[in-house]
Amino acid sequence: MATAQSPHPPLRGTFPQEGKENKDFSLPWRDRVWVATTVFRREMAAYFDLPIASIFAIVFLLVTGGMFINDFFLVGVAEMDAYFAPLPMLMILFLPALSMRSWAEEREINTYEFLRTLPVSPWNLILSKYAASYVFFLVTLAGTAPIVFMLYRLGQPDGGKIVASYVGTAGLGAVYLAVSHYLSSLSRDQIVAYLTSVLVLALLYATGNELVAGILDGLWPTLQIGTLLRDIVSPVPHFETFALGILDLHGALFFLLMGAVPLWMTHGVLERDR
Amino acid sequence: MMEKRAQKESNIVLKVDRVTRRFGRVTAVDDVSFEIQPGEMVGFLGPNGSGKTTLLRVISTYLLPSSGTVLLDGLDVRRSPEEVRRRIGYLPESNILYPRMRVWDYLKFAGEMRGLCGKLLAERIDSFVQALQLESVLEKRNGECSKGFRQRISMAAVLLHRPPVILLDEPTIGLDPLQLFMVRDFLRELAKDRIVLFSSHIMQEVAAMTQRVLLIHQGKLIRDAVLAETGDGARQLENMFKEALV
Repeated sequence: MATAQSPHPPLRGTFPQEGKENKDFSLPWRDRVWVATTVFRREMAAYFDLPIASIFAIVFLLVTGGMFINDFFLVGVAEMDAYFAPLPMLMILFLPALSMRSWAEEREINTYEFLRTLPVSPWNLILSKYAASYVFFLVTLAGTAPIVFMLYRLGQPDGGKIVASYVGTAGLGAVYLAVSHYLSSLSRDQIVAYLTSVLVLALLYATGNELVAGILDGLWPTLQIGTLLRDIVSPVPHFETFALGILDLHGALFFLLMGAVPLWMTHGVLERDR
Repeated sequence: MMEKRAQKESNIVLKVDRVTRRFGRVTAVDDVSFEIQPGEMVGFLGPNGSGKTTLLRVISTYLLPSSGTVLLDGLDVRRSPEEVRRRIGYLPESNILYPRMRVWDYLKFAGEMRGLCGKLLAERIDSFVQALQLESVLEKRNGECSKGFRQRISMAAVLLHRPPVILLDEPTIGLDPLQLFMVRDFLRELAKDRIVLFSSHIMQEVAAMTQRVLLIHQGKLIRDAVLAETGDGARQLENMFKEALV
């Protein structure tokens, strides 16, 4: 409860016990969870406070929605294929705008030293920041719900296919964001972080393209490097499997692994700084 | 003013043993050793680039020592960084404020990051706001505050959990004379039952705040001195520096 001098509402919370001195210096798991949620809440608040994030959400919805509606009226089929097809490419432009600030901004405004001397593990910080950007992305994606609603009003779309496509988009977004977070951790300039993320994600996208794979295979026929990259590195073929309406466990595991590797590399960057 | 608790922490000792920190071929801190007991306020004095900031960063766990050990309450900064961080309040020389956050929200965030919440956190914030006279800026964004306010907000943010060990890198930079006196009193009060280690490159500042001074030059600890209670402290420091460098 705030005292008489404070005009602010009372703070809420249960940890540590109210009114008691925090004499215990150990780090119980609930303490870690409490700190993680604090970082998460601050990051979320920052997203909603920053005009760039709101602009991202609005432009993303307008561009993807606009492209879909155009196709929808031309083809006249109550399906979302035309919505999901260009998403892997469009997300390359939009998702780095969300994650570019995660670490680069901390370095840019010098709060990085403060953050790294708080009693929080690097993993706690990395996962909290990542979770905040991912939730913001999912909230933005939820803004496409009116399209689904419209399709059900106008026809009988394949619900299973739509669900699988959303799952695939969520998985692809998880990978894209993880890569962008890693690249943000390498920079102290948000614009540089954005541009390098777009470049790397574009390369990642290109490796999933049949034509690119064919060209690379042609360059080194014995190595079959194009096929290798498409099968092992690129998340796009996995997304396309989901977009066909298949809830692919192999694809889900791939997204999980491909999301975890950049975050692990981010941890390496943070530790290397010491 | 600050509540006089933290009795439990009063037996915490800071021990720096033969610490060296290199950046590539540059040795920023070179074989430095010292020990600080509870209730001591110690000033790090040295010219710009002498290694003060690097050493504070090593003690604060932000940087790892290339060799040597730093023990705080018996905990090694290398092995138990999180445990050490729970026991320190570290104010870096660089900005620690998120410019778009409002002051009160920022203090709440800083407290929550130390595991404080509820009534306890609100009371802590209020006591620091009063002690450091921050009432008038609570609703402002950090970026809108003057340098003096920003420095005091930063100080409140790193001390909310009442750490037994306080590390301050150039804490009085940007303060006007009145703010300077207030912060000095505040730090002296804190140092009664805690370890306070601060850095400065201004002799008068160090002499005004403490009697024990660690003189550092080109990464080496050249003198661990106690100033005489009588006489001009700044002049004593000047003489010590000259003697040590000759």
